[in-house]
Amino acid sequence: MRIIYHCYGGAHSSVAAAAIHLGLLPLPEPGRDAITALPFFDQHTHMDQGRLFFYGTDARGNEVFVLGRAGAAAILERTIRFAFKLTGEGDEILFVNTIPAVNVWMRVGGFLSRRLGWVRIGRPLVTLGTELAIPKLASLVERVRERL
Amino acid sequence: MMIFYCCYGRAHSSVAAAALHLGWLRCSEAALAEIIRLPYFDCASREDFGLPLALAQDSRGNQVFILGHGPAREMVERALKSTLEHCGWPWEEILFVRTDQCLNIWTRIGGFLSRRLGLVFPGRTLAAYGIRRSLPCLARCVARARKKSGLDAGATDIG
Repeated sequence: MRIIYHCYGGAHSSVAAAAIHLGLLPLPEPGRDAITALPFFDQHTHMDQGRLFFYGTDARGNEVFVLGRAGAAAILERTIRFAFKLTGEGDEILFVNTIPAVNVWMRVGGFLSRRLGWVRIGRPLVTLGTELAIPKLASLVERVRERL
Repeated sequence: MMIFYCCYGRAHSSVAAAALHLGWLRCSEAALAEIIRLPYFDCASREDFGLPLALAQDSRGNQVFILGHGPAREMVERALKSTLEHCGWPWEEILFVRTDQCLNIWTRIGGFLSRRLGLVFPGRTLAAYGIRRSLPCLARCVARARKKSGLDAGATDIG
């Protein structure tokens, strides 16, 4: 099984959800340093939207990915399912939208850091927002695990 | 090699370009009826955005696809490329050919009438007329793609 956590930019909520899934964040209170140290956290730009990033393999052997898909979630889901099927890699893929867990701090901080390039202002804000969103993201990941 | 002929809707220019590539259509002799009869011409819908369709293999064994990227052109290309790369497919073996650069106003209006408004007969005819006029441009795109994919044909060989 492949699990693809996707959000608008593939830089914050999807990264945090994938990290929770793989046990890379100490729950329930991971702390901001652990969040900012996550691979890919607040790194991707609009040039990475659409690109599928492998994040790791969980204890059951499921591959976990991160995807930034802007407003084209349905289109990219078709493309990615097609590509996996074409290469004979199977079509057991679970797409998980992490946008419902996103709060206003993440939106503002993400916009400042990723869109405007104001990293020094945007990153602390988006990190705070991600910390506040951890319970929602953890609950989302828990529901995903129950489906596996 | 996998060759993806890409346009907005996967209904007109990508279909014609793939047909030129596979020798189903001759640039200099194409009649409107012949264009309209091409497999998948003026058939795709919005639900096909992002979903490539395998047409056939060319004489060198390259797999030819048509793809409608909708409003997410770069993202669809990145998604396809990154997923195939993850599965071990070398990126040099993936070729995207953008055919919407050859589109003219006739195909745009015809495509809108047929695909968006459902006025199939006038829309399809107008789209085919536009495609016939843009065949020289499409043939140049195809010639470049064929050269890159090892077929090494000049524009004249396409028709």
